[in-house]
Amino acid sequence: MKRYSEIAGDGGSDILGQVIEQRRAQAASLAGVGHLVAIASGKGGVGKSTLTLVLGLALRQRGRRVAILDCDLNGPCQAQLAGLQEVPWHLSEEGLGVPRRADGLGVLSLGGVLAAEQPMPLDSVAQGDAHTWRATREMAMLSQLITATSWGELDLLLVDLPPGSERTLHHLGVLGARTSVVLVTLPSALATGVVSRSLGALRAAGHEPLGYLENMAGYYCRDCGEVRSLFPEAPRSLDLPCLGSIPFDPEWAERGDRGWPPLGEERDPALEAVGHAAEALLASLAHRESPEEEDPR
Amino acid sequence: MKFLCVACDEAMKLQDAMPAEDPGTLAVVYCCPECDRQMAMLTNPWETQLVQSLGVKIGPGAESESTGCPFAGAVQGLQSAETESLSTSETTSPPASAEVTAEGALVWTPAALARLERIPEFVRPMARQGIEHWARDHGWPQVTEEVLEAARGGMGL
Ligand SMILES: Nc1ncnc2c1ncn2[C@@H]1O[C@H](COP(=O)(O)OP(=O)(O)OP(=O)(O)O)[C@@H](O)[C@H]1O
Ligand SMILES: [Mg+2]
Repeated sequence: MKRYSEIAGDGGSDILGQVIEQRRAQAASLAGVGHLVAIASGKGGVGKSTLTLVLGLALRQRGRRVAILDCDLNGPCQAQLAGLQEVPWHLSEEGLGVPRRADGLGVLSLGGVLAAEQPMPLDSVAQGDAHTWRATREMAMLSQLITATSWGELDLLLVDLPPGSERTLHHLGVLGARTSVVLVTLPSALATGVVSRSLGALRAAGHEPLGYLENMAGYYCRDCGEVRSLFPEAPRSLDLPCLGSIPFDPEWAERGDRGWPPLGEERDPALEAVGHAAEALLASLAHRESPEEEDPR
Repeated sequence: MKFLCVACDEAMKLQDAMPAEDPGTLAVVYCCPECDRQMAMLTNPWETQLVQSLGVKIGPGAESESTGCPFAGAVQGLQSAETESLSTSETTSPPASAEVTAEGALVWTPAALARLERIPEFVRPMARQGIEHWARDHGWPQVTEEVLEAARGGMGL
């Protein structure tokens, strides 16, 4: 009886060929993007989305062409952080145009088209047991969104990921091997423990992150102008280069809720720390060699 | 998956794929090129959904079709009720949203509609709603390419 490998092709639909074509189209859509940088963490709520946006602003301030892709399809918040919630998506001749702030930062987020109370619609022919297909569907949707978008020429595309090691790996699978990873953690033993584990999972899958950002590293007291400690004595750090330690600034919540204003000349410890992190990121990218994309066959 | 006609030791050829009568199921028909015997693989809704989740199509010639619209369901006619209601809204009839329907949908010119069709199916109804909202707020009677460009000018911060 003939063996599997003796029969050419697949069952006739060329599913692998279709998947390869999807990847080719996605890579072509991102061809003008210099660096893809995913901001990730095994831990939720550590400030990935906020730091993505503020890093984007700091990079923009340094003259870089930057856009943000909000990969959190279930809890998108970049449109709100960027103040682009009321701006309709631009349907251009070339595809989906990235909505842009007046300062030039582009932000593509489902939060720009979904009403606040509206969950992302996920149609299915199967009733129940969504865990069997949901992650696959979400990743395919993300890839479709990237492919349909006209990104233009960008120095950096910052990618805001949802929390969790497993999901980080799924997203990196979609974004491709050229994606650099920056982890976000807090200076608490609990957060560092979880993020160390995500670092282990990334390394096991062949991804070496560029470094990490330590968020909420102290509390910036606007009354006395000093940075005071927020957590007990700093725990062991991650076995990675630290790209920056950013203090907690109580004003950030309000800025995020209203939509961040463009960065001006203000010099406060939190924004200065983000500025240094942006420079550390650029320096680290300049030293990184881009790996070849894998051939899915 | 590949299928082999055991009697002839020949790979069976994919002939057709169609939605079967049970909701969410698919009949994929194969034929042996030697003895002409046909067989059908019947999928259950989870199997169908898994393939559909990849954004690929099943059936003869699916590979060439898939480049045209990678966002369609696995097999034509196998969309969920939700997707179907969305695709009807892509004509000039009102979109599904209660809010917009109450306001009355705006007519899209064919060129503007063609641009909408270039974005993934799952975001079309939402993008459409946002643009119609903007157009109405700015006094446009219909959605033209000019409106799509003007909406872009209304930037955020
Ligand atoms: N340095 C900071 N100073 C002040 N507030 C901050 C800072 N970093 C984050 N926050 C606040 O912490 C909250 C959580 O931040 P954010 O949503 O960015 O986290 P996240 O890691 O993206 O969460 P999720 O895991 O849900 O995606 C937000 O309300 C944000 O305003
Ligand atoms: Mg987030």
